[in-house]
Amino acid sequence: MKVERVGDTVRVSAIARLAAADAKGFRESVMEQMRDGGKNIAIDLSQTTFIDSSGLGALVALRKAAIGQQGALRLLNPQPPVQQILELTRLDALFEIVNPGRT
Amino acid sequence: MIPKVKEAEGAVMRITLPRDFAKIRAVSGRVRRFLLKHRCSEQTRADIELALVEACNNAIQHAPSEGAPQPVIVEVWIGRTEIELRVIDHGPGFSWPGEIELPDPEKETGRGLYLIRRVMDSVRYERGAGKNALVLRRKRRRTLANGC
Repeated sequence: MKVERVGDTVRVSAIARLAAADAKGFRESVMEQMRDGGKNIAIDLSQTTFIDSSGLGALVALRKAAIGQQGALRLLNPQPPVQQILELTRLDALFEIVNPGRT
Repeated sequence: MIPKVKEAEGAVMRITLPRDFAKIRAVSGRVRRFLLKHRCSEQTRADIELALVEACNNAIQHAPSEGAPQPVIVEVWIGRTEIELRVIDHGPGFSWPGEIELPDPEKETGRGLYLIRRVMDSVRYERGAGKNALVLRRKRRRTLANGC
């Protein structure tokens, strides 16, 4: 997993899985960058093959943190297995999901 | 006493999971390979993995903090038309909610049981003295009417 801050946006990429064992570290490393001046969060899900309820919980918490800084959270390129779970839990309606590769 | 799955009628796998969230990934990987070997579809493998991971999360979460740590037992049975998952823990268990609704979208927790119910065809929780089993079944071929 890669976490970097570009201006006021915290970008997270190369996330293989977002399950209970990964969710806490994921959330903490993004929050650390938010404390250092982050406002928006962009999470690249193009390499994420699995997400569970703990991973979804971490995304919901980070969205709240971004909104608290008057920023926004975006999910980029979720692949079908992850998109399906976002839809099953109706979180596809909560999150701003961006698919630049698709029209 | 929780009855054992009938080995003669299909393939069975039994795995011991230590009470550690980090160990769930290896277990779900083994179950995925077992499902692949028995020609389960990609959708079936994804659904079973999600239900299994959520059931293991639950079993570890509700484990007692005192006393000797007891592992969680995962059993997978692949029949001709159905798959059964059993996740057995030795903790106090929890009361299974009568209705499983999605929480408010802004809530961080409370989606695990809902996901299990959505991706599986039947869910049964057997709570016993010092031993609980979550028994999940799914048809190998699910129709769209089943919700997936």
